[in-house]
Amino acid sequence: MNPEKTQDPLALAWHWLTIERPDRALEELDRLTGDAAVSVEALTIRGTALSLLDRDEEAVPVIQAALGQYGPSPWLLTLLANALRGLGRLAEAERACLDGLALAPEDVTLLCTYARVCLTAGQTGKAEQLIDRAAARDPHDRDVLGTRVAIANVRGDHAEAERLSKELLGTDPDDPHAWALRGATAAERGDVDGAYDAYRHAAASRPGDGDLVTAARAFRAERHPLLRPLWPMYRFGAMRTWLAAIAIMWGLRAAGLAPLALAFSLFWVALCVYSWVVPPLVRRRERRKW
Amino acid sequence: MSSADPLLQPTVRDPRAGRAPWRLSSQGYVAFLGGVTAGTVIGFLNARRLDVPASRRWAILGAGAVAWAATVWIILDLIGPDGTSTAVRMAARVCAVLAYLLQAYLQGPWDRAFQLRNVEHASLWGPGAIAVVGCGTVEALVLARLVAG
Repeated sequence: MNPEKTQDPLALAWHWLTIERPDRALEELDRLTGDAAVSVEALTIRGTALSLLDRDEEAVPVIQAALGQYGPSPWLLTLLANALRGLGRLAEAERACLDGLALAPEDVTLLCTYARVCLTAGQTGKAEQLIDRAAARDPHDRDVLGTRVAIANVRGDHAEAERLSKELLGTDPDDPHAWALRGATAAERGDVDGAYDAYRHAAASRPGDGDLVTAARAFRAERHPLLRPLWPMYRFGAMRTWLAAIAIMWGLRAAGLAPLALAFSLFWVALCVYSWVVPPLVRRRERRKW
Repeated sequence: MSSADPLLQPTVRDPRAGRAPWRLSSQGYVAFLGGVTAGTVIGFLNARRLDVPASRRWAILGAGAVAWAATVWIILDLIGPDGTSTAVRMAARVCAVLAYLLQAYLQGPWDRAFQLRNVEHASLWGPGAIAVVGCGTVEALVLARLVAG
């Protein structure tokens, strides 16, 4: 069956979903009427699409309705856990994961989802144990790699996150989720160019995802030439840069170079004022241009 | 694997509503302007908001205590009674910022996990100002007494 030629909205919705266009999938589902609109298939596709678009508040009741019709299923419970995690309802998300794992204790996707719930709750150690268990089943699974990137980012292990995100992209260079993870890794490192490039790819692969577009816009603004003098602050963090500046001022004074210390102090104060005034203006201008 | 599996026992609880943590970078300004005590109080309270385990919260307090001891030692033994007030202030600032860097490192993984929740950090303006003025004044008075005594 060629989904482009069929008139069946459900088949078309499924097609859009598989090619990372959840926004178009929702449009097709809106054409359904009567019982077809609330069938378990339609609810599952709608729940998945809403979840992919980060519209978790709408996704939760849809997935719960699908669960009500179909009964407990590992896939639906995975979807529910992801949506609840997105809403910060972590205890309920954990319950959904545990209910799913009671049905399918070795389901790699569910183990990864549970690991992400634990990670979001700050339980990095448990998340690592869960992901090790999932990796024992399938070490090259994309969910396993993606969750490992997220864990490495939370632990602050940027080198490992970078390595894993490259490996993840190697398995599918068009995966928006992999690009988004790479963007988050680059952002953690203060790599503005890398973050923009990754989020741009992610947003292009999934144009209906507002969060990805917003992230790409934000890093596009940060690449403006007027903001380049502030990149060391992004790279090393404001406090480390401050500490380095104070150390330089102190060092110059201690070395008897008071005029140079004064010149550096003035430069530093000017840079600080610049960092407070210029970025909001550039961001506002770039938002209008997008 | 069964429901008795220790890894598959519920351990997650919802974060307390209305208790979003503060930005780690903002805490640096509190430490710089208010000193070790202000930075440590804010760091400790923030660790509670982030649900950082008790051992790490004690480590945050410990870092503050060590920084306090270092400040006093530098002022009394290295700078001495003839030292300028600028040197005393600088020593207190450097110790506070170093303590902050360690305290921020200790909170780091939990802050990054918090950022996965897509929730905004709380504003530190009010609590930060109170800590800077309150703790900063007390600390300055204690250090001034130490220098004078």
